Amino acid sequence: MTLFVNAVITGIAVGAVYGLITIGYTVVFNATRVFNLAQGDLVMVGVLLSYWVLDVQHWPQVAAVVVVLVGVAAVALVEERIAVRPFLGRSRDNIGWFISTLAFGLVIETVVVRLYGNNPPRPVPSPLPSTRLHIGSIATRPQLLFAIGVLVVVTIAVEVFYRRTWLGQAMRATADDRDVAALRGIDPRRVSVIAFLIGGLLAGIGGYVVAPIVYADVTIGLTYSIKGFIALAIGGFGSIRGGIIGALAIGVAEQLFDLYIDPRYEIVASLALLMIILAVRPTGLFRNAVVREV
Amino acid sequence: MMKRGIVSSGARFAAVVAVAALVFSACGSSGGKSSSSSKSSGIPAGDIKIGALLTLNGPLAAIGTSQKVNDAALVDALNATGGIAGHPVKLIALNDQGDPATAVAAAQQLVSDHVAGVIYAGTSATVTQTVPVFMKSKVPVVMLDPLDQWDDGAKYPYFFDNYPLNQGTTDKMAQFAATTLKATKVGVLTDGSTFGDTLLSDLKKSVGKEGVHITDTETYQPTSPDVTTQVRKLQSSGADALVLFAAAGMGHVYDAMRTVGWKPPIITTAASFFDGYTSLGDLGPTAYSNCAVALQQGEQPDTGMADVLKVVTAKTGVNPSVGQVVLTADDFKILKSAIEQTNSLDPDKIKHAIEGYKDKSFTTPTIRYTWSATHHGGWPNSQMRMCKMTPLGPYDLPYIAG
Repeated sequence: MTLFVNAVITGIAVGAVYGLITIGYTVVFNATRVFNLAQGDLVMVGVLLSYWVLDVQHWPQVAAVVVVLVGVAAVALVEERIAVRPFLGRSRDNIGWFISTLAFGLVIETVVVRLYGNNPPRPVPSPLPSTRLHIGSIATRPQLLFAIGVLVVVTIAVEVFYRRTWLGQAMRATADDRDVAALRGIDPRRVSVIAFLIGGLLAGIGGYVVAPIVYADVTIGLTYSIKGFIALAIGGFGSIRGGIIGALAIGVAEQLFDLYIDPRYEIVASLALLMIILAVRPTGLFRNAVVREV
Repeated sequence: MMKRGIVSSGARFAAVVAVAALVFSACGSSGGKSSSSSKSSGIPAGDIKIGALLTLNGPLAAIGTSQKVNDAALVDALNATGGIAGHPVKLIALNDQGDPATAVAAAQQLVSDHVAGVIYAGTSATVTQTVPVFMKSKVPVVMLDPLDQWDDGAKYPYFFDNYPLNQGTTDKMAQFAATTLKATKVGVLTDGSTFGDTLLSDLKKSVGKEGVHITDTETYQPTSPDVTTQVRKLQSSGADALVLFAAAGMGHVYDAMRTVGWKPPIITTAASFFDGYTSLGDLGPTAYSNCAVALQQGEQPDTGMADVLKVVTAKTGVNPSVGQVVLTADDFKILKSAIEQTNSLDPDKIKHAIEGYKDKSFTTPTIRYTWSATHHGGWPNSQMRMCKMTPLGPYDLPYIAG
């Protein structure tokens, strides 16, 4: 029983790592109807920047936060300009951004590998101590609890942004219909830039938080992009809460799969979960079918 | 006219051949490396090419990148002392990307480049596909045999293993666990790679000989952010020691052990010097690895070893994985010795030369090889050792444990 409980708790913590990626996906999708397939690679950039600032330059943690947020946001804005904007504003059926964001992710990986080299994954200093925490019979690391905490704070902040601010509502309106939004005085291009800026900041936060957990590793980008996408699909595209729940569900499913079946095929856990959910609710857990009047 | 006709066509032909022979030998001695040709007329003029297939992408890239730098440094040192038989050595190192299809194409490229030998044909992920390519094309390969598959000289006549067999390694590990650590129950954790699975399979054969019992076997994904579930299962199984067979993601394993609060002795492989070493921390003093190149406590490297390490660390800096370079230096020197002995690049002559080496050392007298026509595994099990992972000695070489 202890093994089961610990696996669930660990799964939630691991799911929080995936959730920090998923929320960035959701923000960008909600404003532009674009799945940024480079979102995991943006998080990877955040991780590597953290390593560079803290382990190579030996700057303080505060400097790492600033450098990571600014750096990743800058990369996200470059991506919006060259890999996404050319495809926005075209017909709704145009999905050229699918290839371009994937390609941008591969470019990021190539550049990072050139800069970091093919060195083994290296530990990144954490702002928290490494001593384990005990909650009853459950043992975990402060870094994982920190990831959960940051995910909660970020989720609340994003939800408040969408519900309570004019800009958040404008972003949602643009996603529904760019042309109508433009007629109402909302500049779709500006909305797209802001969406990617926020997505980049979220990726930077995610990268900084998960760096001490995942190590400076140039191979994590695509893996986390895929897992974030699966979480989004489970939760329902466009639903922030759904994406988070999806991410947590993947984390728990993986740990239980490791416990009872075989960690070698861990990816099967998230894919099987996705198939089950979509079989029961094709639009995802938290998204209702959209009715369009013709 | 009649007198000219008396000179037979056969004589004319012989005269032409003689003149041609004189012309070609003059060209051979005047073009390129005249001094090398005069020293070793059995070897064509020009560079002697040595090939290597290295993984420069993916989770195993840390090992491949390190190998690339080491190999280049060793070749430079070899050329500084005259190369092989007076010919400069040219290293052709190709990236197999850790992918079997790419590796096969790269192997075929090396064959097309007419390499005289290969000092590394890939990791356990690709070597099963590449070695047959070299065997078919009669290209000598001198390297470790990661899967204990090619030591049969009759089946794989051009493959020469200069590293401990996996079975010998796991036998030593089991013996070490039982006699030195007094651990009769071990848990095994692998990274799911062919490398890890092969060692696990061999360990299962080894433990019975020493009265050691495997309590549980777990696997983890190197990219997984947390492996505490697997470590907890091993802890729950009652293991006295952890055997870790992995080439990537070891840092996550050590983190998980600290999180769970389980710090048994760790028995692992030399790959742990490449990946995750800096994360060992407080687990280091009770972590042990098999080691081919090691020192006794307080000992200094001998001259041969020191020369090689000096040359390589000038480019790489001193690091825990550098000791393996001594065996790579032997890879080059074994081929060099065979080529110079036979004055030829003929693979069959090289093969026979290496098969004749008995109790022969190359870089250091502490590593001695014996090959035969039937057995191409040159490393005797009596030289097998286990080492402490911390502290490290000169040039970050490990010390022998027990």
